[in-house]
Amino acid sequence: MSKYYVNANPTGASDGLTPETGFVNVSALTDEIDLVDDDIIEIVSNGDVDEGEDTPVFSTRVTIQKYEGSISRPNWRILQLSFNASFSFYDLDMDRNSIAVDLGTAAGIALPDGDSSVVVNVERNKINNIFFFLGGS
Amino acid sequence: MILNLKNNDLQFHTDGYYFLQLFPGAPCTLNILNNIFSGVIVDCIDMYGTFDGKILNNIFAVHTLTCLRIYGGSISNLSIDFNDSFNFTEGDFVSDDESIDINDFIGLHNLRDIDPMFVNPTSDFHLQEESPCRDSGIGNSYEPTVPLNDFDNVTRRVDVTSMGFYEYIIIPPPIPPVPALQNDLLIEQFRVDRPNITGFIQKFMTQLAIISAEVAKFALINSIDLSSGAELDKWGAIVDLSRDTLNDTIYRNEIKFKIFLNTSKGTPETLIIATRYLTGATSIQYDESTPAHVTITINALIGTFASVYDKLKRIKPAGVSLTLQVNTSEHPFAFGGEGGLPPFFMDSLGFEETGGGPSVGGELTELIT
Repeated sequence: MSKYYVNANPTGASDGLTPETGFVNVSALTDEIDLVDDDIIEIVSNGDVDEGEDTPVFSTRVTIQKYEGSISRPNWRILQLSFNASFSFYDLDMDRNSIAVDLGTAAGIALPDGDSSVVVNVERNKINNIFFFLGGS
Repeated sequence: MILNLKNNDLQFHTDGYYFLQLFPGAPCTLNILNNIFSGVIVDCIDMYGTFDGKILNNIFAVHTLTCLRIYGGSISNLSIDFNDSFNFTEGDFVSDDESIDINDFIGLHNLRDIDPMFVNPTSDFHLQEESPCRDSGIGNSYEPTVPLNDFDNVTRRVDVTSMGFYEYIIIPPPIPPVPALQNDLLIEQFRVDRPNITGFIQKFMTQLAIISAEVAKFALINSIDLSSGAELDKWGAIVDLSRDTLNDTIYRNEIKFKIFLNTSKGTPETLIIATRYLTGATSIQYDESTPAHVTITINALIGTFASVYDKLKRIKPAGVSLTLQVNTSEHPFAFGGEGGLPPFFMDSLGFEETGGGPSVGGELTELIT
């Protein structure tokens, strides 16, 4: 199990290993790091963590949560996020940037489909203009 | 799979969409608790598939068609209860599948079509003091899936909790001042002006305020003066006094007197207090004489003389005789048969005066021995 960090405005070369040197967004982290089960990603409240047009996909058991040293919930702007295994996210301010979404596209947070062993924990988040779909849309 | 969705602030501000679309390909257990759905949306939750679980303590405060819509599938052991629904147009909990009767899953504790009374319905989802959602959710003691903390990690009550993601909390009162001398006697690290001690005490002040408020509510509920009807009958049962044909006012006074009697020690002070209560007198003279006799003289009388005297006899110490006199400063006029009949009236003036005292002018005195 490892803990990685995401920081919108890192103060050092991004390596994801400390809150100060976290990757600028989750997509950048998963591009560099091969996550394994029970890894934790902590997001630092230091500006908007924006995934842009990228859509992070997780296939291992992962927890995404507020960096414990952050006082406020960090902003995380995502267009789409998909999980194929158990996952949790806590204490985040998740935002679609208040853009009207065409639901003709699969936008939002896609929960795993068809696996009865999967556990999804979503707690204490402020979630704006994002919808969840379980089993596809 | 299991979906645990708890203590979330779920906002949607774009027309025409759902928030949770649940069409799983495998059986799914839902634990959707203490969330607030807000904004403008078609359905908050759409479901199609095989489900069980709990949808509890949520507030659906959305301009919406439905709060929850079941399209079809197989539903079993799903509890939809302790939720508040508001601002829907097609029903709060709806099944589009005729084979699924959603009423089989809707509990009796939902607040249906009731304004949750947020501090601000668009920007601040804390509950107002008068909110019906306050303390109306099921607590963790009865339902272990209920989160122990709220959105801000504030500890929730475990017996009952507030619907939505904010627990209603009472603002802690300020720490009461500690006399300087008393504070100075403490060793320095325990003085109340130390930040860590202040914080420590403040933590307990919150709990103390909650307990105090509950005790105050309990006292209000259990006030004889505020009880009526069946509530008053419960008080009567406690002191073993049946109502018979008495109205609330008289019955309440009888109960209060019975309580007084049960706790009375027959002291002079007790007799004086009881006399004041029973008669409304503002002046009470208490005299003791031999052998073992007490004379009480009052300046006013509410109620019947015989009733008051009977009650005082039950309070006085055993073996002590009692005389009660009413001595007013008025000079009433009494008709025949109403005045001057000893031993009840002495010194009254009227027709056919037969009293034993002076019959001219004078004061009205009631005397019973």
